[in-house]
Amino acid sequence: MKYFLFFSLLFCSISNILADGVNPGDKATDFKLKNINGKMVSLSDYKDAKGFIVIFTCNHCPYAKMYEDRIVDLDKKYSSNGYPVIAINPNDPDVVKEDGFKEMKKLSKKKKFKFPYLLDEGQKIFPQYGATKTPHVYLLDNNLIVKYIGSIDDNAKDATKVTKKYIEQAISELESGKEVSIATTKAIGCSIKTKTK
Amino acid sequence: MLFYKRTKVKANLMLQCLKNAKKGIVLGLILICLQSIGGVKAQVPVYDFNQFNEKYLKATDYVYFFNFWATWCKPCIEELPLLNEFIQKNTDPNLKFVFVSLDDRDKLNSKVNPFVKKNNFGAEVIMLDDPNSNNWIDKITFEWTGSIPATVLKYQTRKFLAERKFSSMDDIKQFVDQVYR
Repeated sequence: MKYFLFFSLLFCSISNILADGVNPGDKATDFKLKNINGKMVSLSDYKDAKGFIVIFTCNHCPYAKMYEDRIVDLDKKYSSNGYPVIAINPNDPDVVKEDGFKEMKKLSKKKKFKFPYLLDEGQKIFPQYGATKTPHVYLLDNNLIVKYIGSIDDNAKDATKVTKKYIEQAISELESGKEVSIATTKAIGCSIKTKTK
Repeated sequence: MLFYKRTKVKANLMLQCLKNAKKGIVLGLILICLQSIGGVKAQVPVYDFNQFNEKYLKATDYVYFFNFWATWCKPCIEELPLLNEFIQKNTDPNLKFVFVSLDDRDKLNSKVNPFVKKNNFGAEVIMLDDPNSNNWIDKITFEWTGSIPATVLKYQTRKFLAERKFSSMDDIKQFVDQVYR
């Protein structure tokens, strides 16, 4: 029995080490990525943040497009309350031209993004988060501990039919000192585009 | 007298033309109806998750190869010829291929049906229309994070996932072979 427990724990830790990305409770990585205004942005730049809404999103994916307005709304609602949106484009612009830097600037201007829209140049950051699609959202606290991973709400297509606003609920729970009740959710999205795939 | 005859002939000719035109229109309408009935065969059936679950996930008869795709998903379209080649060369009667479109229900007639009609899908195509993906992704397989293209191989309770675009026939073959081990 002792050996069984030992080996199962060993196996679990090995598979966690091998598994790409973070789970709720893990510490996420900071980064230094270029914003559409040419400046480099890191989470450590935000001295007063209570947390971060890190969103892997892009220009071309229909699911990302469906959430554009809601991402703008999230930032409007929460950045002044200590939870800024940090949008990161994880795609390789060589693979998807529509996800190039110029197009990111255009989108930001069109949708009036008031938050950073960064390019994961070299695509080194998204694998550390374990993001597999766009959009893919990670809610972090001010110590970069992951509190929630998944989608913004439960209806990508129709914002009026949303019944659960996962990010808002999670932030509300954090603010009340509670544990996040729904720490992970799943949704359909576009695969992240890399040269090897 | 001649003038009268000429106009009468002209009038008769015109009447004949109209009669023929009427026949032509009727025939044309019949042809259009037949064509659209023929087109009904190319229509992709739409299921919500419960229906998909009842009809496909609960089935224990075949080894199911579910390929999740969408008309707007570029890598999904890129792997289509490879998948169709594999389906054509497949000799295993127990392997059943199902292409599951995750397109928007509103685009069924404007995009999906024409796309399916135009491209040679070597197997059954259905649409899964259910907005509550947080509810059903895990029920298909909990390993799937939700990105497409994704393929799930299922035989009774055993499931295998390829959350990627297939790169070669060998890639697909190795994936399918898992279920036979």
